[in-house]
Amino acid sequence: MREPLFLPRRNLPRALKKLAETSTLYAPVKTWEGVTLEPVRGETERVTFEKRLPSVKPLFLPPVEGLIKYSMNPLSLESTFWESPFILLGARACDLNALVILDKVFLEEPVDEHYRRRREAATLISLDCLEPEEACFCTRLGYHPYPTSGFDLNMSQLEEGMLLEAGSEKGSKILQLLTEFTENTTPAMLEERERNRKRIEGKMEGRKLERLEKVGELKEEYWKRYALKCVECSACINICPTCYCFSLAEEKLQEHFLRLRYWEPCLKEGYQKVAAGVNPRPELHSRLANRILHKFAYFPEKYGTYACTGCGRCVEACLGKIDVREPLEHE
Amino acid sequence: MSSPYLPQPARILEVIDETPNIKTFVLEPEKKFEFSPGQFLELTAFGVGEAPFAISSPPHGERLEMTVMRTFDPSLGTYGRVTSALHRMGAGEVLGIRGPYGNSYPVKESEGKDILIVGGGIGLSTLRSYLLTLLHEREKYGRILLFYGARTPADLVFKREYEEWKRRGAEVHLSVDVGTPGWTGNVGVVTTLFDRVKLDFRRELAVVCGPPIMIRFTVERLLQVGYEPPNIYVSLERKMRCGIGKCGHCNIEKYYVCKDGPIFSFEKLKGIPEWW
Repeated sequence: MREPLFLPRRNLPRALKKLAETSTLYAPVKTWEGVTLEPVRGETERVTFEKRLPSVKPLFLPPVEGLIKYSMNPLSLESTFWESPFILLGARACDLNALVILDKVFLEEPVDEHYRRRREAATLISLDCLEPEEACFCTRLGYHPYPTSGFDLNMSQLEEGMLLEAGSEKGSKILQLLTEFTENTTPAMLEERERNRKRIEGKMEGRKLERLEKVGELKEEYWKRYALKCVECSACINICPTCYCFSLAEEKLQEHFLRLRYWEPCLKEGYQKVAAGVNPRPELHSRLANRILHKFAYFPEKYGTYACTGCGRCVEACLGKIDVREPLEHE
Repeated sequence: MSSPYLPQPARILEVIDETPNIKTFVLEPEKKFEFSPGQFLELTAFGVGEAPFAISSPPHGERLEMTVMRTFDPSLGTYGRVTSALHRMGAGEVLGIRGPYGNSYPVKESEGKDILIVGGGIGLSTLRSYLLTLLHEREKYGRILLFYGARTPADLVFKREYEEWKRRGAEVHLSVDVGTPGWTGNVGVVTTLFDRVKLDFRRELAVVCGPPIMIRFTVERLLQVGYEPPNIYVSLERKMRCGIGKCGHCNIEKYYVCKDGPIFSFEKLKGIPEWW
């Protein structure tokens, strides 16, 4: 792997332009509704690193996607894949960690080929966090607020520019591509990065999640209270980088049919209802409990890791101010 | 590699009317495949949708049979879209299949044991695959009893086969919730057979499938009459969209019914409030 390189701030717009010319570039941009993830072409001045992205999940598990295309009379069936290469710029550590969690589900046998191809098509350029959001709690789940693995190229913001570190062959190639804009690093730069990293981790020290290992012991009474303010809107699930539940449906499109996959939130009343009307989970509090327990009890038992990165986006998104940390701290 | 959600075509060779709302489809898949009793397939009615159904034929047979009930949701007053579309199909038409998925009945563990099979309604579909597997090598097993109940005599599935099952060494006991003129058998829910039939067999292995409420009461009865939780196996129904443990819909706590089930020993389920 190559040594880290330094990209001076003044060269950043041209470097981004170069990336956008090379491949489809998804990056965080400022819009009227805040920071969103969008394809960026020439207008690289819109790219911002101040705020984190909503969630990178849609690039790997789109809200709606076609899995199969078929026609009838005569019957002909084919798998459909969306696999053109792209660069994702600005993913944070929590986004990378979320992909590791999704990998466990979609890359285990039988492999979800749709997801696998998009993972392969992606070049991940990640970014150190400088300031935690109020809802952030990644460090309390054992993660760091800066990427340690899973990236192709990582950027650390310094006073005068970006420190670029390759994490894979793909990342080394990007570094090569940007040679004309980069300089060698100095030990002071590496020290600055270390200082920044220590500073944010210091800011994130907080209450321990005392009940993290015991969340499964919470009684129904607790979940009933916890769910009082839930209006079933599923914003938490849609924004969650690791929530992956989906459904399948057929859709007619002109002369042929598509089998679509779409996100289906587990808070929906009919989520488990079977055709003859039996609903094993008719009560909202039991569905909300299932969501939390899936993340912190069932998933870890199956896959050895929490299905949560501690990004806190669900806390920010919740209309009822329901906090995912509460059942993990509860006494 | 292709999509794991891509079905393969299967031609319908024959459609057998079992009851007014249950049909058995005899299928010829494009590519033959192995399966175990208790496993299920995702069936596609092309242009309509996909849903999971148990395989009702045994693995050793020549025919692949799927027994499908046209479902009705009383809370919505509507029939199931996929099951209705399947019921409109006839011999020569092509549907889609994915699978086989899920685990299987404890065939190996059944050897040398007295086996009680308890079925309710369409639940007999998957149990038939197991029962015929046992009867195929009858000498390996102890007594084989079938307690089967349906709403009315007209709702009993596989009626034409009961005599043959008896001839091949199964003890078949039937019950209906509501009798009709001419019915001379037991009337009452299937668990009433526990009061009517002499329970002089060894409590070694029980296998149950049916509607959720029937499974629940049957398991209670089995425990009462002396079965141990590890020796009670139930086949569960859940909404299974993907069939491969990814879509999340069919979970019962840490288990996915499509992958860890659909067959569970009661030992695994007994501490889980929402198991049934």
